[in-house]
Amino acid sequence: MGRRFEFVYILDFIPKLLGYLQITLFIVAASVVLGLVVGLIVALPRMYNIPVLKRLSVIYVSFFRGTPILIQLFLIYYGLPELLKGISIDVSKVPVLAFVIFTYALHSGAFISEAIRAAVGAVDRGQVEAAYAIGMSGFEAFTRIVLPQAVAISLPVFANVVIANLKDTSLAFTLGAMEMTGKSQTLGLTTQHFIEVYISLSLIYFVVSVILERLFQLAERRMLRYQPELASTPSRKRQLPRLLLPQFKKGGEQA
Amino acid sequence: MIKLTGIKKSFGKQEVLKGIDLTVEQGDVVAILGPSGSGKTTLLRCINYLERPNDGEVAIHQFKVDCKRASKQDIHTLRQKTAMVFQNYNLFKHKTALENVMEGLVIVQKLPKQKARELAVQALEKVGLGNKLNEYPSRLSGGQQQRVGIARALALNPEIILFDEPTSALDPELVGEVLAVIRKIAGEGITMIIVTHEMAFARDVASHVVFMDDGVVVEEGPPHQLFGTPKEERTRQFLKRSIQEWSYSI
Ligand SMILES: Nc1ncnc2c1ncn2[C@@H]1O[C@H](COP(=O)(O)OP(=O)(O)OP(=O)(O)O)[C@@H](O)[C@H]1O
Ligand SMILES: [Mg+2]
Repeated sequence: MGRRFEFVYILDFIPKLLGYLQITLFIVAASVVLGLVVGLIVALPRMYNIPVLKRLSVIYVSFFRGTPILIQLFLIYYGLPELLKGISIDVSKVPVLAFVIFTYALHSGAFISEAIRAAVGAVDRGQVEAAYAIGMSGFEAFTRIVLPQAVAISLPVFANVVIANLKDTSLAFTLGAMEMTGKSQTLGLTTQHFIEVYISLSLIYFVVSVILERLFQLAERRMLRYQPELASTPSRKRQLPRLLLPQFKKGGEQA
Repeated sequence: MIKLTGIKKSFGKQEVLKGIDLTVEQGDVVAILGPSGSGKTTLLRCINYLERPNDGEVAIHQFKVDCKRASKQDIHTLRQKTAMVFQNYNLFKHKTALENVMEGLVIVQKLPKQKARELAVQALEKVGLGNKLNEYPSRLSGGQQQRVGIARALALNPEIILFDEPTSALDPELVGEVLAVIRKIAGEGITMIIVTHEMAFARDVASHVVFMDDGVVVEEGPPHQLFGTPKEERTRQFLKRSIQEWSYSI
């Protein structure tokens, strides 16, 4: 398949692919921001134990965590318009990208809601009582005491969601979305240098992942500076292996 | 003057407080003793509405709250007039010692930051932590954390401070420093209720001792009377057991 391997193509492809990086990053950013909103909304019924909604949120979370994202993409891209046609809403003019972002938002929302739930649960009840005892309202106690700690605690999981999302966006090409992987398909086909284009592509994904990983680590160290383990180990050595080998695990396992 | 009248509290079918009356005069240090499960913690938590009493009245000076129809505003006012020191300190983990003490001053009392900071530093100095202002709780010993907890209560300048077994989560060698701080602020005329198992401390520092069992006040009086010549058999039994178990002295 394809022509003989030529190194220069790798260098040639990188800038061409980089032109589409912004679309990839846009999908990631938009879906993660939406995913945060979805995640918070979905986490609430379970944190406050609201009967029917709680059940629905469990089903939602286990569906989006338990099925492949590729299938979710297909279901939403092909299924949703049919469903909406039933109530006479026409979405045939909606761009592919919107479906892609919608799917990834629902997908990350499921993981984020689990992270939020775990993190809020990890802030002990005693601190909330102390806040009440000094006269804070429920809202003040949540925003000033619980939320900052919950955000800090869930940051590692959130980082994993973002990075997993970055890589998962590569599947959007199956719907014909023109992001980085989609572009690599066309480049491969027109030049017949498939190996080179995939090498360039993986290099870009890898570098972006490492940069994101590193940024999250900095944020984490800053936000969790009140924790003894982080406060007392400023040594860089310990962080290095993790930096070179980003852990692309997703979800609430480590929370 | 703090006055509790007929405070009742049940958890499900279990009646934990069966109608408690208690009067605390200005400047009093009231020690509450009693076996585990007798309702001491629950009583303290009813005073600032961390638990909602089922019946009774809580009065702080002229401000009276009927427990059956306490409004949000009533509860807020009660909480502003009281402060609590917890068994497990319950410091805000993401805030430094100074920020822990400032939080209530800035957010609840709405003092300007500069003024709040001054008061917070004063309170921390009083508990001997003037050199730990910017430490996070995770870097402090249990005794130091509890002293931050006391400073946080003290800085709010409440009518009364409620202590729930302030030393029982501490390693024995750290108990002394915390008791010394409580003794010091008791000497300054701050009104307080202390639930404690430290018999020697209660005898020395309290102006009034209350013995609770099974959701009722069994006996109360000045320390020399309650410890020296207890009237009730249940009190005598409890003291006999406690003096054996809790034979610390400071
Ligand atoms: N939130 C709650 N829900 C149900 N039962 C509770 C609750 N809080 C306390 N209880 C019960 O109320 C009773 C009194 O508890 P409380 O904590 O007031 O006792 P205590 O005198 O402080 O005991 P200790 O000396 O062990 O601290 C206990 O039987 C306890 O199990
Ligand atoms: Mg107790």
